[in-house]
Amino acid sequence: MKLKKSVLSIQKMAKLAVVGAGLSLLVQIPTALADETSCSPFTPLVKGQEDFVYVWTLGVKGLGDESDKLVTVSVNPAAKTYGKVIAKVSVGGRGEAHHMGFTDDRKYMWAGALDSNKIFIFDIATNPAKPKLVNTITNFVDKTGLVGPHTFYATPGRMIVAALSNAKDHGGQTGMATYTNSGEYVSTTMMPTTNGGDGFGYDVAINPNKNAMLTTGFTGWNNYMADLGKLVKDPEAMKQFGNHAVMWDYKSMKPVKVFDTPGAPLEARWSFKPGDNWAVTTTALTSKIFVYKQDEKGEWQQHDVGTIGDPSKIPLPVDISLESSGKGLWINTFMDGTSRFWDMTDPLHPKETYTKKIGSQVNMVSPSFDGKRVYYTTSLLGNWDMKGKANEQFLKSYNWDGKELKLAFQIDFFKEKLGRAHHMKFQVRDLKTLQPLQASIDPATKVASK
Amino acid sequence: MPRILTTKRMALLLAMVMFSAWFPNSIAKSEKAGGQAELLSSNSTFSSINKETGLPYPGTYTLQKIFAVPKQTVLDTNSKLQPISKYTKGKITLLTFFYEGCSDAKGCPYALGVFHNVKSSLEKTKGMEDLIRLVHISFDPDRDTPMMLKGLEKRMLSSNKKGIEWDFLTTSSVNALIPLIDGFGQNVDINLNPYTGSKLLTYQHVLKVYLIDQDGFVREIYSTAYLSKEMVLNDIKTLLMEQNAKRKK
Repeated sequence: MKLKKSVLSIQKMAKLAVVGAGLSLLVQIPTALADETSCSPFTPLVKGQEDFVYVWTLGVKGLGDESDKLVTVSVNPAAKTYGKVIAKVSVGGRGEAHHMGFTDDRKYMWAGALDSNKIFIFDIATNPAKPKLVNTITNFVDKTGLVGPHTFYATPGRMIVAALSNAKDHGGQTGMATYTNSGEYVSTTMMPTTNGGDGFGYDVAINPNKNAMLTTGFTGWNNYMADLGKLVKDPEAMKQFGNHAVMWDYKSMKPVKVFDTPGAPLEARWSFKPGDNWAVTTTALTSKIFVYKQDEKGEWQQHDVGTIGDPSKIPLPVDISLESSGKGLWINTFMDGTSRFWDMTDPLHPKETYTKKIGSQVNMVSPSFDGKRVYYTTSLLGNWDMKGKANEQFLKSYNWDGKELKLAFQIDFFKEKLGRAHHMKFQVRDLKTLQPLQASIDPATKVASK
Repeated sequence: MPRILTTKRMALLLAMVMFSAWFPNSIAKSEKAGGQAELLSSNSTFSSINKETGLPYPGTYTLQKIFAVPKQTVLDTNSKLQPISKYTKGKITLLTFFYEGCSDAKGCPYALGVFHNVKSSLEKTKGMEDLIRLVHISFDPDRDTPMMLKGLEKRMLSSNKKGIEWDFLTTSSVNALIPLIDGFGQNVDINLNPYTGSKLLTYQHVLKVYLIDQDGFVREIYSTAYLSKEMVLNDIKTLLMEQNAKRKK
């Protein structure tokens, strides 16, 4: 099914005075490249106050309508609805809702389900306060041979969908699919199984300035859909986790170098601070921080730069997010429900400077562009979340002054009969305020005079 | 018809020979690249990167077939309605949407600069004019009229009238524009004055530049964060090599 598009929107400006502001926006050149909750660098960013946080939420049997749903929360303190759920779109059924990603124009958001393999596309531009489901891709497995659409990463006119598993044995060998923005399948790229590669996949992060793409590896459907308590007691199953990260030539979509990164490297993040040339990941099972940096010869090298908590207790580092300055990294550890701030001023010698317990469990962390607001959610996977009272499910918003996280508001997703709160993405009411990430101008380019 | 094909084939072969001068020993380099590239060169699935540019060598990769150019019409500088295929088939085409009044330094003017540099580089090799064209299509059919675009085309081609073809096109109306940009997946916001309903001068959009093969398939999409002369030239050469290999079969 082809996505019906409405690419040309006629937007009225509120006042004539805004005209001047609009013009100035167009010529404004961003001075910093940033992470804004780990968006693709090809996606324009919310650099001011976000108006909405979308939460991709797993449905729970016996709770509300029991379906996976996209929940919209009003988060601008100036709004009368601040801290409240203002919209929800159920997608019908439970398919292990997991991660989301914007298209390169931030007008559509793709959201995946790891079990049903469905990809839901929401229109978040026509009325950002009330997203609308406009397309569902149901041919992911048939077209790609892959299972578990995990990361949605915008590239110009396209979406890279990084998967976790495959349809043949539901193990960890997998790949990445490319679709057009309108939802048409383009191609599949498998993760490398030669030159040291184990074929596992999880996250994707691209640095267009370096023509570099970093991927990581987690585990297949057999494991991520299993009960965590039973899984950890199965030695054979515990061997089926990714142990490598891969640096790619993004242009050719070919691997350049495979790194030994034992213990399931998960989120991959680039520092887009001007002049920086490093990326970071953390490992779930071995609690390590690895940094990827070019050496003086321009070759990518991996550096083991830190240990998170006490690895013997398996704190299970999950989501991470780099501040836009590249100087600070939030790391969540799921098992102790703690968020940790690491000073990354020297990325090869980072230091943990702050910790705070967010809840009995915590998974995702999303800081605003200016770093002053930090949002947290709780669900990791439907069968991996804690049981009983420890299975808290919430969205919490904190204000961060560089020293202390102070709670601004929280929403109990069970009390509101919503489900398990997982991935978050920001949006603004007025998309004209979005600012693009810009690479350095080609120095050889001279703009023709009119 | 056969005569035209023969001429084009000869031009292609000539251009391929000449073209290699831009990338001296590029293929040989990819096989001899030192360090990591050398280690991995035995496995064709791994990349060989030119360490000077950070880009893969032309011809060592395949550009995705992303989508076919939509079947729409455009207005040429003589106000004649033409199928867009006239400007997107038969040659490799570098195409973008723009509006003449765009003042975003990293938007339309930046793309214009890259197009100029690509054109200048291509024109150093004889025969390229038979193989490659550049196309600009306006977002602003009201202001960017065929007459205005004729003037712009004249200014852009003033340096080398016999060089690479560079077409400046528009549409007959916004209604004609919409399905065209929709087919390309090119977004644009047209701002209206809330009091008069008239269009303002700004057409906010994310810059996209499309590389189209001679059969009319979009093979690469560039944005400001991912657009340089070197990359475009490499991709054009890759398509030329693919084209040549296809004809040899």
